[in-house]
Amino acid sequence: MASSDHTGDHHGSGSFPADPMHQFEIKRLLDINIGGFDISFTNSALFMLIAVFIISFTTIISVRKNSIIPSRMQSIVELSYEFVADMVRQNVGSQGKNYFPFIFTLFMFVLFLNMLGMIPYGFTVTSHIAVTFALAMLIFIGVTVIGFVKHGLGFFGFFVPKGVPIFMLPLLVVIEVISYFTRPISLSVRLFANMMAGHTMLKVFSGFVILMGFLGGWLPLAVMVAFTGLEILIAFLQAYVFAILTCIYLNDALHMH
Amino acid sequence: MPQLDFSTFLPQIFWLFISLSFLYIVLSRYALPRVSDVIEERKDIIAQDIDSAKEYSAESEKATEELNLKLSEAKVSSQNLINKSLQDIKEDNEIKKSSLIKEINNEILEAEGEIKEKKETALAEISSISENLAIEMLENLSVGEIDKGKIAALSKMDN
Repeated sequence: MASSDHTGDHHGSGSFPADPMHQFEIKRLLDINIGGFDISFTNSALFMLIAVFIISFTTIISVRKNSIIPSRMQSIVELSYEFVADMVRQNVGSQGKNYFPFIFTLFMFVLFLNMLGMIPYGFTVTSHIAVTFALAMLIFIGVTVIGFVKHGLGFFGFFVPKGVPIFMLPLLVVIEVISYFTRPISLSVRLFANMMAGHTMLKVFSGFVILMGFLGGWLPLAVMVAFTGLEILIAFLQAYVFAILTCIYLNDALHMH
Repeated sequence: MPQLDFSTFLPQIFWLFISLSFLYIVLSRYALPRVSDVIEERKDIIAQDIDSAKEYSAESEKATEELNLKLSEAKVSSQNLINKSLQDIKEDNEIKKSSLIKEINNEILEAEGEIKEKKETALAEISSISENLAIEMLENLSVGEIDKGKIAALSKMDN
């Protein structure tokens, strides 16, 4: 199970020059073990800290002067603020104001993790199911707790659709419960699969560039360039989808449809 | 597939929560309140500016109205003034004209009287002059004694 088993050079289809899965490898940069728990500092943790640093740094620097006529940096921060604030307002309503800092943090964090993955030699933290599923579970548990705090046991009514014939109810309740509990899975798999698939595709095409050499390599290179653009779009889009779905789940918990 | 290497799950999740909590604290405690402050402040300033602009435009409209009112008032009063002074001048002229005519008439009457008087005295004088003239002529002609009474009667006849 140690990561050394997966060193890319020996792994995969022997002749293929680049192992597309090698980029997802977790490398332990600093072994830390506290009370029997392995909390080693890995490349994944490094990129998370880089994202945290960039987001904190840009926001803090840009709001330090806090001028009425914003600088470019401040404009960017204000634009993203307004973007997320609009998203929360439209999907959650006025009650969402309390949860805005969390949604903003989540959106910026996922967005920067996705974007950092687009930089060559970068590492895509969100291409790991462990990270996305942990995030999704955090949201799922948080939203469920909010639902029960707001509505008490009445939150179970969320699973009972209104205006349905009584003999259909048992079936529909089961479906509702299943769909509710698959939320963290769909939320996490959507992000993880998108990021992993895109990066794998890029790596496969880069392998083709090397394989086909100077004469034939131009076509896969062109595809790669186009695909990189698409990947940047997807990196943004998936962060947006992740945040907006969180808003929708939050809205369900606050207002029960 | 490195994603399914369960031994890496715990460190990933641990650092995920560490960095996410840190980011959440930084953003919610420090950055976001300040961003919202400046956005609110800007909104307030813009709203204030719009309000004061509205106020100013209302004021200017009011001032224009006042100006128009004053202009029309001034027109009316100046027209009145012109009419009145025209009337005054007319009346004054009338008075002066009538008094002048009176004066002229008086003077004419006076002059007529004087002329009459002077004519009468002149006529009276003429008779004595012609009397003396006739006497002298006759004396120079030396025809003897002159009947002065007759001459006087003659000179008075032809009037």
